[in-house]
Amino acid sequence: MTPVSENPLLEASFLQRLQRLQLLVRRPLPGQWKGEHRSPKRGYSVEFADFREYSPGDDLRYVDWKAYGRLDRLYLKQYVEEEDVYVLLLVDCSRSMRFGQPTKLLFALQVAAAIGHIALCRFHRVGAGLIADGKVTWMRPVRGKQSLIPLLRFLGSPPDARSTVLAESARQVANGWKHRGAVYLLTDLMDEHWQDALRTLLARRHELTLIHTLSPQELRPDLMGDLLLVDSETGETREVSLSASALSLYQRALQQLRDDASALCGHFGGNYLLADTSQPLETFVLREMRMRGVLA
Amino acid sequence: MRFLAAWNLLWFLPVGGAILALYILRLRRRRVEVPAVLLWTQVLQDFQANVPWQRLRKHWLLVLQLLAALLLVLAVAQPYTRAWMYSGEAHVLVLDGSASMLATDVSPNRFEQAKALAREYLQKMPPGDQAAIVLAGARPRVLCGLTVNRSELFRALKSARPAETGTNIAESLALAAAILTPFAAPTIEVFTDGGFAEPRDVDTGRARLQYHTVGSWAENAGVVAIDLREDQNAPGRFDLFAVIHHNSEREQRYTVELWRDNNLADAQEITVPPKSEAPVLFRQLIPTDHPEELRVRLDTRDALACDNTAYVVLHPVRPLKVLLVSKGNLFLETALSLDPRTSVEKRTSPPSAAESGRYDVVVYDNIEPASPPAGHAVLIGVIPQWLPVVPLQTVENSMVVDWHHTHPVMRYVDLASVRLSKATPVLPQAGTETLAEASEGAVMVSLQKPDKRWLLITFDVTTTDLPLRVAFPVMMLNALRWLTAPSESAERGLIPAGGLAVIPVPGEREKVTVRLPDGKTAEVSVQDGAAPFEDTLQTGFYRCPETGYLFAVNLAQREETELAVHSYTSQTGTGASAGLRKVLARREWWQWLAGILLAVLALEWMMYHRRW
Repeated sequence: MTPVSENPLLEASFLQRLQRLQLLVRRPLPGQWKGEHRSPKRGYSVEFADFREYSPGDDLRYVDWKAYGRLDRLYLKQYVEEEDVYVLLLVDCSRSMRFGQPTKLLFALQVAAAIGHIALCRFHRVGAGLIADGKVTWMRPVRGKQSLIPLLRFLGSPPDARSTVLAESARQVANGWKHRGAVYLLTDLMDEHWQDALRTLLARRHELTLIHTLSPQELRPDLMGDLLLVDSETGETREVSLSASALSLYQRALQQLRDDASALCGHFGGNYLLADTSQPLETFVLREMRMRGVLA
Repeated sequence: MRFLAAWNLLWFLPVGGAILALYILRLRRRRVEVPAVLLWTQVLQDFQANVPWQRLRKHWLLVLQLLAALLLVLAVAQPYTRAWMYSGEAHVLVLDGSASMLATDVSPNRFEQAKALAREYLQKMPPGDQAAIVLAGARPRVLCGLTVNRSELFRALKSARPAETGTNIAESLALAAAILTPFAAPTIEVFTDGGFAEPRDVDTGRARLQYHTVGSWAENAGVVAIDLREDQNAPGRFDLFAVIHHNSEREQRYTVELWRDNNLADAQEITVPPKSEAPVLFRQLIPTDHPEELRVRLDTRDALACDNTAYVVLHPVRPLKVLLVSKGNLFLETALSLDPRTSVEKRTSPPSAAESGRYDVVVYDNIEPASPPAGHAVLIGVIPQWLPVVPLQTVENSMVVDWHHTHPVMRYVDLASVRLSKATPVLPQAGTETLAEASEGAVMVSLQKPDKRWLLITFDVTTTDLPLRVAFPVMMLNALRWLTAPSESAERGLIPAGGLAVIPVPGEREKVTVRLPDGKTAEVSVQDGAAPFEDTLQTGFYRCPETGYLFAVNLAQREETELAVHSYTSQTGTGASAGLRKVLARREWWQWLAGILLAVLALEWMMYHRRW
């Protein structure tokens, strides 16, 4: 475990500003305890959901007596249940995430901590997984504001990793995280099989929010001339002679990747966000994530 | 195809080998670590998918570079072919570079128009013909020798500049004819305004002479003569005489200004009759203690500017110290003492060299100096052996039959029928000038060296009737002035533009500088105490800062001021019938190869940077 930063991941003042926010989770998700989010279960909130026929033993306070007067049959009024949400923060800790200034990994961990803090403030259950070399290091779900410290400590010490192997990691998540909930995946998608990974996660009917974390060097590469490109994860090399036309081809490929990822997420009801690590964290969390309907 | 330097083809082996070696060693690429090569792999795939022959890209560059090397080596080997070409024709373009060509009656001036005509002529000249360019000024100058290289000719033509001098067309044509001597049917093309007398007696040999006339008539006035003389009635004061000429068909009034050291000193209004000239006189100018620059300026704006001002130097008048070495000669003493500025000392024995150095002039009257005088001297009645003259037999009852009327010593002097009861005529040698001669030989001789002048009178003046004539004191006064004046022509500012100026340089200097009227300086080598300077192509004052010597150069030529335009008829040369000859000539191809080489290099550069 290597600390990614000497300083705490999030400033106290920023944490305070985050308390006013809440996660926007669109689909009803089952929770464990009473909470603030709509559950697929029927319960006893103020929001009407449906009628069902009375069964002996039902609480007579919820019998719709007006309906009984008209129809001469006993119907029970059902209300929407509001529960907490299982929030899973998945951060890609591969070597490729250690690029940029600040590094993409630090930026991703800070965003994950911010989301975790917002979730804990709303009494959701927050778990975390750090993906490295095809393995996932777990943090069991915690609840309540007091759990912020363990969460920050967990996120503050990501494992040293070389490769991602995103698809394998996704399988482990699918098998290891049984709770259907909101999953926030922070990765640069620098994996050949990233689509398999996303499909695996989406197949579990999680509400997936993909935060595609890229550095300015990847978004707008300042490379020109005859170069030997070395892959930081695999050590693989490519001889390229870069010119303006080659760079425009790169931009086209990058845009294609973003479009594909966005389309896949959208198809399964997920969210896609591009995180440019050159922008301040506050701007991304307080403006970008709110504009894109991830936070409210 | 043959090669002039075929062994240069061997250079292809090391050059081509070096290119191949560079390809074998491969390009050293900069190592850059990136998060992942995933996206770059896709770029490369696209790259290769778009250009099927991408893999050949490097080979194309190699091929182009080898081709460039081959072309370079071929060009260095100077390939040539032999072909039948019309040749044998040679042309000399004589460009009139005189002052009248500066006239602005045509835009921008006549000289530029002449250059344009000459350029056009060169462009139309058949390929293979040779041409040379001669600039005709006061002295003809070859701007470009005979060549077939057009660019060299155009360059020479572009660099041609006219001078504020007259035209020596005869010498220019003679030079052109000399250049064309080896050719059978050459032509001389003269580009001029025709502002000179037609040179009828110039033999241009086989060359056909053709005139191309530029310019039109334009009204012009100028100072065509200037002179500075001491006022006979007021010794020590000078009269400035100038002649204004114009070509107008109407009577014109002009204001003539006299400027002394850049200060307007006087001005006169004069009326010049149609197509004529009028004198103007500024009287009794008092010299100052330093050589003074006098300008006579005609206040007018006309087609030619450089003839509107004339220049002359007014030297300070200083008292003369004369030593008369004589046993007694009343006539001579009286004649020498006539000028109040002259102080005469007498003695009977010849002075030593150191003593004679204290005097401006030493007059030896029938007493032979012990050694050649160090300074200016008049030798009367003695003929020392070291003089470059050969004494002839002494004659009696002879008579002066001729004298040099225009020499400064003989100005206003009439020696007609001067009787010589006894005289020893001499035979002048090189370096001397005869001033007067009897029927038997020279009796008065002048000798001029850079730092001193001597006057030899071979007879005893007391044995002649010369002292009884008015001519004697006038001649002695003239002699004193001539002996002490630095240079007659320079003193009066009458060095013609383009003429030779001799700058006296005392001491042991090897070089002196001359500041030209336009402010530029020129270095002149000193020979025998004098610096001959012939770059007098501008009118105005020239100064030698090292010695303080100042002289003036004037155009002062009526032909140039006249701005006449004459169209002379062409002359058919004796070789004109020969026409063009068909010869087997060598045609070199290296220029074409060099051009293709540049194109190949440009293509290689584009391919390298486009990265198709």
